Amino acid sequence: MKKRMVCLLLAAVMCLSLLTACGGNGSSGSSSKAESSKSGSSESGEDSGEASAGETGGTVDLSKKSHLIMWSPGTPSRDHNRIVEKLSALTERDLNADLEWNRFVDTAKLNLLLSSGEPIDLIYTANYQNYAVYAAKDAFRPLDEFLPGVSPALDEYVSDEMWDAARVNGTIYMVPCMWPEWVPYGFLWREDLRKKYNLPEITDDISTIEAYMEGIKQNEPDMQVTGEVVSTYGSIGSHFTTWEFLDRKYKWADFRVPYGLYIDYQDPTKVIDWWETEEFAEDMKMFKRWADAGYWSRSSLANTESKQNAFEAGKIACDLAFNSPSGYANLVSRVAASHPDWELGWQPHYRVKNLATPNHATQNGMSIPNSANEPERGVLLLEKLVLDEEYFRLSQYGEEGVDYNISDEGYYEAIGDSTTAGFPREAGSLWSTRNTEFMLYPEATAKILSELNAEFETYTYPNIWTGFAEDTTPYQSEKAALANVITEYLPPIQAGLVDDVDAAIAEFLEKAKVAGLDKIREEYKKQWLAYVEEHNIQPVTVK
Amino acid sequence: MVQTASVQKKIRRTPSTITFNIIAYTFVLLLSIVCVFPLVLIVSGSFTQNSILVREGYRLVPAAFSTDAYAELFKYPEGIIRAYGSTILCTIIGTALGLFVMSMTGYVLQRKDFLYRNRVSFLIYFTTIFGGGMVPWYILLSQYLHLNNSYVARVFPLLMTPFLIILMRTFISSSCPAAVIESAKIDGAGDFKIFISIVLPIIGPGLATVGLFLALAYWNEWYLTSLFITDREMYSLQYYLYDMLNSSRFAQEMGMYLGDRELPSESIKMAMVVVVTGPIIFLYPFVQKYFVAGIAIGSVKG
Repeated sequence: MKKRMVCLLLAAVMCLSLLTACGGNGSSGSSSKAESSKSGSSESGEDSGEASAGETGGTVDLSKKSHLIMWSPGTPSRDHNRIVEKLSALTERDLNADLEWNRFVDTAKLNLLLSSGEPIDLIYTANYQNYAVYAAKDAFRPLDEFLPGVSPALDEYVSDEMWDAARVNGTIYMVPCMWPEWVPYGFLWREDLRKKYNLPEITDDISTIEAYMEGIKQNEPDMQVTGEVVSTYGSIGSHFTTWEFLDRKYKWADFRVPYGLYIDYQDPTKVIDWWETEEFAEDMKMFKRWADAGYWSRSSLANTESKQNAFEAGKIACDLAFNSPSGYANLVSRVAASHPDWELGWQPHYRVKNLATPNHATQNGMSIPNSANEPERGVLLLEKLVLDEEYFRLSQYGEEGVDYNISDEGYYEAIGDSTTAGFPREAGSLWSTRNTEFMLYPEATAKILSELNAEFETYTYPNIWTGFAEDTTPYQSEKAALANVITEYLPPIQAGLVDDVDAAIAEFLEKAKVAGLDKIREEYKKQWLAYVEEHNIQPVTVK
Repeated sequence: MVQTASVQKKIRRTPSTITFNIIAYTFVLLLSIVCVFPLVLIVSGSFTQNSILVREGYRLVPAAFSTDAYAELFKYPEGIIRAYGSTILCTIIGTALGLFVMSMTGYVLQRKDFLYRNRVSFLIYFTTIFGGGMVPWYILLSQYLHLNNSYVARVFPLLMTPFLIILMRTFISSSCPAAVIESAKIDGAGDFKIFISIVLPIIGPGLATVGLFLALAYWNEWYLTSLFITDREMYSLQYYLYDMLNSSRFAQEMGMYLGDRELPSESIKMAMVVVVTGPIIFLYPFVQKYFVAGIAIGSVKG
């Protein structure tokens, strides 16, 4: 009898715990709350829209004192609180609300914030932070109707193309950043060593890179030629970083197009099963040749050291895929201090293929969560941060005279040793409010950056891939299975650490097919082609 | 006395004992080398120049001595000292409170005259297997109990750890016979009197074990801070260091301008380990004697 009671109780509690777990994870609770707050505040928005106010905030009623909460990524710098205090004084003056500015470090925290319905008025969001997923789950407030009424200035500032690119299922949930940015990978090498051993100049021809690596191998026995590593690419599994090097060779929409598909930039309707092609096998054979020549270590697959650290310590002589112009500009100025005898060279992959694509609109943006207490003032705060120079400078660079100075030539000058600064440049990680008009660069990097950006400008084309919001629900489990297969079988092939490349690729593909590669590809292609049609993406010819 | 000494001498002389001692000592020696070796590597790594560390790897004696990593860590001593203070405070308060609450729970649960003890034990045990999940837990603590940015959030969730309660209950029931409690009762002692003057002294080793577990949990606590604390000044030591490492890595990855100096990226990690293990490692010798006592009591009773 007693036992039966215990069993019953156990069953009851299990059911209960299941129910509560579902409720929590599915965020059904928060979405219903969001639903009600949405309808509530959109009414109030319309109401106040009719009542004309005039000055700051336009049509929004600011008479009641309030509290604004903003979240951005990264970790707070030492003097974060001081800057928040200053900003809060500004918002109190203009928006009649004090400001709380918090930071989240990892995506787990972001997920908690958005699914627990925590009150947030303004939050950083981006495609790599699952913008489309959260938008589809109703975490953000739709802006199509709401924003123009609250902030006509922002509505005008963001171009129509950018608004369109930020749409998820036809609705805008984000205010994209208007600052154009190119972040290509590129081949990084030691120009001083190249000159020292009289090696051929690095050109578009891959053989010059091979000659450089061979030259280092012969002449610098203490150095590793390159320090490629295994890197995780979100939910699509781990790859060996030589993969990024191939970006110089192909005019594809993006090398990160998943599932071994190749989308031709010049004809987006052409989707090729790339892993099965002869070119892919040839590329992998090239990597095997390099691995056999000893350009990276036999234990590379277990290597965890960052390439940049190794390069700066003089341990490796080149990096097949070094990321971003600003990273390069900073590296140059750092190396100039630590190794004045070095000379560096960087060849962005974009230059080789003569095709640059800027970051997609959704790479950086701000959203108003549905759980916002003050959505209108959230938008107004964003307007201030982007379009008001005082707010912009304070939130991006800190206090003038305390954290930075503006030189006579208009450059950003950090005060004191820049590594000891309490609020270094862009310490707020508000990449989403960057505004070309107000931006300041340090002199050391400004020149390299502006040269590179000017160069990219000459052969840039719109980004067509990263704005595509993939819906993985039809193949969620296959995708996870495939990611495991990729992580296990692909890096050794990309690192050339297999005996027979063709056989290894065949084995990999066989396992991938068992995991459901075909099903995923079919569905992905279908979604992609629908996207191409919906956004009317036309074939172009890259010169 | 003399006799026992001579007996010992006799025992020591037999060849099998000698062989045993040689093997045992070698084994223990090897074991302690294996344990100490990584520690020495870490300490030496923390004193090595970063670029040498990256290029040549770890050595037992620093190839190029440098205290850069520590200089970087302690560049702003207020921050790290505040983090130290808050972690020490949370550890002390949390361990004391937790020990008190859990030993009482354990004691009550093992009393045969507590009617619902099996049901209550079951409920406690049950939570180790089933829970509501992270999101409901987070909502409860942040939106109903309003523990955001409060030290309570760093102490409260660890106070009642089911595993430790079960450990405590088993320990009390095995080391503190019901007869002792009964006799105290006959002598006229109240429940609190019994608990404080009789039970607590007997379960010293148990308190030491559970206390050590708890103190370590509080000392190593970073997860609660990452969830509930956004104010930099309230960070726990672990999270403060994690945050430091993170922000430099973050800056590097994002191509942020950091100035002309390279950060001691590798050696600083080792310095952090030294800084973090330093104080807590001294807890072991103090607690160890209770462990020895515990083992001895067990052996006497057979």
